[in-house]
Amino acid sequence: MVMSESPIQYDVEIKTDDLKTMLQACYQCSSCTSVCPVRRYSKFNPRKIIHKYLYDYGVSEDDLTSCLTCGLCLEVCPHQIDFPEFIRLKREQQGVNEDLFAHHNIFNIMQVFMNEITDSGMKFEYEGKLNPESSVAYFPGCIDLYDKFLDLKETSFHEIGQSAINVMNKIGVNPNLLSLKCCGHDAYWTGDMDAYEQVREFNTQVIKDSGISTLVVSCAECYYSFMDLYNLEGVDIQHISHFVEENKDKLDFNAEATTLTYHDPCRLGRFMNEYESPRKVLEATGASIKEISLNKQFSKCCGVSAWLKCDDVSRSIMLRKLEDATRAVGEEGTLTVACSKCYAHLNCVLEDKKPQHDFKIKVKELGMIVDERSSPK
Amino acid sequence: MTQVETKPQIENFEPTILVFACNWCSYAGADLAGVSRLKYPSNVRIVRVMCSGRVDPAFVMKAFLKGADGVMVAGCHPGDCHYLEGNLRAKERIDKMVEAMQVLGFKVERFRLEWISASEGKRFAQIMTEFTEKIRSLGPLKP
Ligand code: SF4
Ligand code: SF4
Ligand code: SF4
Ligand code: FES
Repeated sequence: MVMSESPIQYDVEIKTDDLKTMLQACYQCSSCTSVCPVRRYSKFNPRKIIHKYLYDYGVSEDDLTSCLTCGLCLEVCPHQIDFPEFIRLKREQQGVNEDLFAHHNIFNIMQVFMNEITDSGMKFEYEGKLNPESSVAYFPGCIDLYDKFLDLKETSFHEIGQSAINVMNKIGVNPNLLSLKCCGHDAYWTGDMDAYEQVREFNTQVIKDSGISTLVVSCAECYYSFMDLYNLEGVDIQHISHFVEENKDKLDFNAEATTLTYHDPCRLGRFMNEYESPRKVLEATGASIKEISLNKQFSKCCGVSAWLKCDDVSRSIMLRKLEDATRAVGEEGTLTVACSKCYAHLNCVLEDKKPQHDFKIKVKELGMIVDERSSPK
Repeated sequence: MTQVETKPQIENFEPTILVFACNWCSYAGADLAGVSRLKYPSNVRIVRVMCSGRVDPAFVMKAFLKGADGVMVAGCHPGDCHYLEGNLRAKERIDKMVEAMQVLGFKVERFRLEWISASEGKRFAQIMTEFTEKIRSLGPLKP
């Protein structure tokens, strides 16, 4: 039998570009789609997005903004296709519609405001012993702004910074409280490179001028940005968990034993490969950790990234996280997070004005737990 | 590019002032000022909103970014809001915004929250004149 020629004449000419080259190795196995937390609650489909992009259908605005850039797909992809990076580059090319940001885009507006109008770092007011000459610095991140713009009555963000400073004081370190702009993580991940470059330049300059050798941060995103995106040679960047782990001998942990569970933030876990330090710190405080079923590199994201798009899908992801945590540690337990953003989103859903849940679990930040459970030696 | 350096070139400076006025009181007040032929500076641009509670801090911050030299939010006097407590919520939110502006190191004199009722046409004109002069003396926000 002779195979006839196909009656259909395909007339396609696909041009390549750098982004396509990045995605070329994808063989459409759909592992990414099967783990994606957004996919759990919507039709969002990374495999299909790649397919469509390779065949010149572009990326829709909805797809572009739905991805949490959490990196879970990259973790399972047999060909290490960096899908989040693809999304980031695409956002840079295409721009992101302002209206899709949560809270009327206030946090990005703030960042641009700092760049274009005040051109200064954020001025914080914290109690405790501070020393502008110290070689160890602390930067709380933009949490003080969350207190002002998120309408959360029972959640204090200031406390994250205050606890970290308390802990440092207990260890015997009086940090230099740096007045930086936002770290620029959100601008970077939503493709606003102008704003990002400006904050990076400013912050790098301030850090260099301050002459510090160690910079301690509370937020996983700050840690990732300073470590990975900035070029801060000669300055040792530490997440609060690293700092406490290093100095845990200088603290007394006498609080009664308790059980906690821990959520791996994507920026600290998958991005920076730091899974052990926070756990060791929690254990050092005398807490035993009951793990969430999907943890470490397979931890699901908290639900919102870079303040982009907080919708019913995000809410579902958060509720699921709380459910998983409750299952691990029990109704009245505590979920520890090591990122100010996770702390914000998860507490926000807990404080829902018209709650669609009856979770009683508490969400606390790592530094807060260490502060609560330690005393100076 | 700090605010201090921009001060000298104030001659002939016409500030741009944006006022968010609530439909039921302050906008009616502005109307009254107009009907009574009271004079107030033409620098003032009014955006009518249904209630001062509609104004999100993001609108104010963005107004500054887009070139306003001064921004005001005007609503009904406390207790008079036509949506009961819209203006109280606005105040709560805006007080926090002012605190945030201080965290950023911004001169908060450029922003004001005022309660102006529908019968206060004269007061409306006064406040606008005074605020405009104040902003004029502060100089342009962006050079
Ligand atoms: S897991 Fe990797 S190879 Fe498989 S469909 Fe997704 S991107 Fe393609
Ligand atoms: S980065 Fe996260 S949210 Fe985005 S496609 Fe991958 S798994 Fe889904
Ligand atoms: S979950 Fe996060 S982004 Fe959504 S409303 Fe709450 S704080 Fe804002
Ligand atoms: S209606 Fe005027 S402030 Fe609410």
